[in-house]
Amino acid sequence: MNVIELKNISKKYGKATVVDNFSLNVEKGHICGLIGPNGAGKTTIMKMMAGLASPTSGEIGFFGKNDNLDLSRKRMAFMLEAPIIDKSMNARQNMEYVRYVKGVADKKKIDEMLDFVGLHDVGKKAAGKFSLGMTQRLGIAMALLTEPEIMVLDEPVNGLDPEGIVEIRLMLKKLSEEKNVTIIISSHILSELSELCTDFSIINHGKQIENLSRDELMAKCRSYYAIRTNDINRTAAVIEDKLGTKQYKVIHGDEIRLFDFLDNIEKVSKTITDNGLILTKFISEGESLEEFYLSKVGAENE
Amino acid sequence: MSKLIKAEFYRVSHSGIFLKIFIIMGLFPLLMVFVSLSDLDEINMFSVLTTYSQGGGFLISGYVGIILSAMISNMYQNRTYYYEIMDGASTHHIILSKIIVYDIISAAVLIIPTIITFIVMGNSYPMGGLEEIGTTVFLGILIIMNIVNCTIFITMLIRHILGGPVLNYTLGIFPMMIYLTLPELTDDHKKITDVLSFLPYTQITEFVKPEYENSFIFKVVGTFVVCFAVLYALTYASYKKKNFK
Repeated sequence: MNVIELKNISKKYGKATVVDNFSLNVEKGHICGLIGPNGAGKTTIMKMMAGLASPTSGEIGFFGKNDNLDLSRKRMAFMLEAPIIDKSMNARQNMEYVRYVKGVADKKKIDEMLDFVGLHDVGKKAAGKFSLGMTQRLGIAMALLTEPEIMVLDEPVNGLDPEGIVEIRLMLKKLSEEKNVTIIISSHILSELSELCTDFSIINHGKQIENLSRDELMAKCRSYYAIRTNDINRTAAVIEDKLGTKQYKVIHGDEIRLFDFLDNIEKVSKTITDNGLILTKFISEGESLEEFYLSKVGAENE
Repeated sequence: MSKLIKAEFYRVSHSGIFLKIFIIMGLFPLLMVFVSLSDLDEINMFSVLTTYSQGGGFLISGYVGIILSAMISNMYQNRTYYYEIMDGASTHHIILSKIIVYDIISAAVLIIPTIITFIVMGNSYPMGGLEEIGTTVFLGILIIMNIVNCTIFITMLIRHILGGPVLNYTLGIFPMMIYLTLPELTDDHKKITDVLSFLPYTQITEFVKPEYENSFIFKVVGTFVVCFAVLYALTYASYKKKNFK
């Protein structure tokens, strides 16, 4: 069952189209990574979901309904742009404020969540004096306070140390697997998203590039031979002249990725060695999410 | 709506020092009554209210907009108001909760201490009977609440700390100066002062009267109702547009 349905939503500010005909369906319990460069429209999409911006056209639906979104939003939590905190209040006071707004009866949830994100011992320190990582943690704790069914998180691991990033990833995975929480998340750390997400949506210049599941991504990530030799420039020339293909890329000046002849490994290796080159690396690999994204967004930008 | 009221009370009492400043500043108009009426024999119900109206009115117009606006606009500056919208709260509830919270705070700071002083200190009231006293208090409350409400609405509309000060200086202090000084400067002042007398900022300087004309009462009540209705509608429309930065 789709719990998030965005149908052809567009957002214009004056003459500028920030989001153009974007569609997305996310099933219950799935984690969808929203990927795009800065200014692609990710935050605007999230703001429309949060009710902070209204779509110029298109439809938004949550939990299979599109008539009373405000009611549905009570079952959701959002963390947009930087975490929303009152800098003059301490962590507990910020949590208390959100507890009042959301009408959470159980006061113990505050301690539980502060413990969970590792902010139980910050005392009365004003949130304005927190490090970026602590602010992110507080934002996540505030989002989790109501035990939401859908979470919309904009760059939640921004500023966290590697340990913190792993903790948040495991926490989100746990929420999705154990509590069936549906999550939409944006991040520039694509390696993290590739480990976390079940679905991906790529957006650039406000336009949808592609929506795909993890399985589809795996199928689409192009395989290639990673080749290193004693002379990378001559190897490139051999590939072009002797194998007659231009489907290769030179990476960092010392490695070639050959996307052709994937079913004929013998021909490739023999051609290279027969031309007096020494192979130092020859393995079959697949593109990462980052490479897939760059190939899509790069092609779009070209 | 009760959860929004509780949340706003919590936020304003824990966020920054503006509430404390507001409370301290709120006592200044009252202090002014005692300072200007140095002879204790002068202190009666009429003198308390007149001094409060004429001197305190200036002070109230001057700082209410600034401090109240700072208290409210804090939530726009750090975006905590997003939580109310993201929680799907009704726009009416959001606006009314702010009105209720800041009206209660303003009443507690600006009106209740004055009324207590007025009752305790005033042993005579040369203006007339209970009816006149009631009318004076009613009009005073309405005018102060109108100033408070205008500040709340304008701050919610502009969503910036400058909302209140801009309102107070363009529609408050400046017109009040004209209103008070114009009769001495020119003979042809009636039209201008007539227009300016519709502003609560000028009404506050002259709401204590020995006798009330119906037109003045209607003017005060009418201004309150019109300001509330128009600014409420504008604030509602602005929130409904949902283009929050």
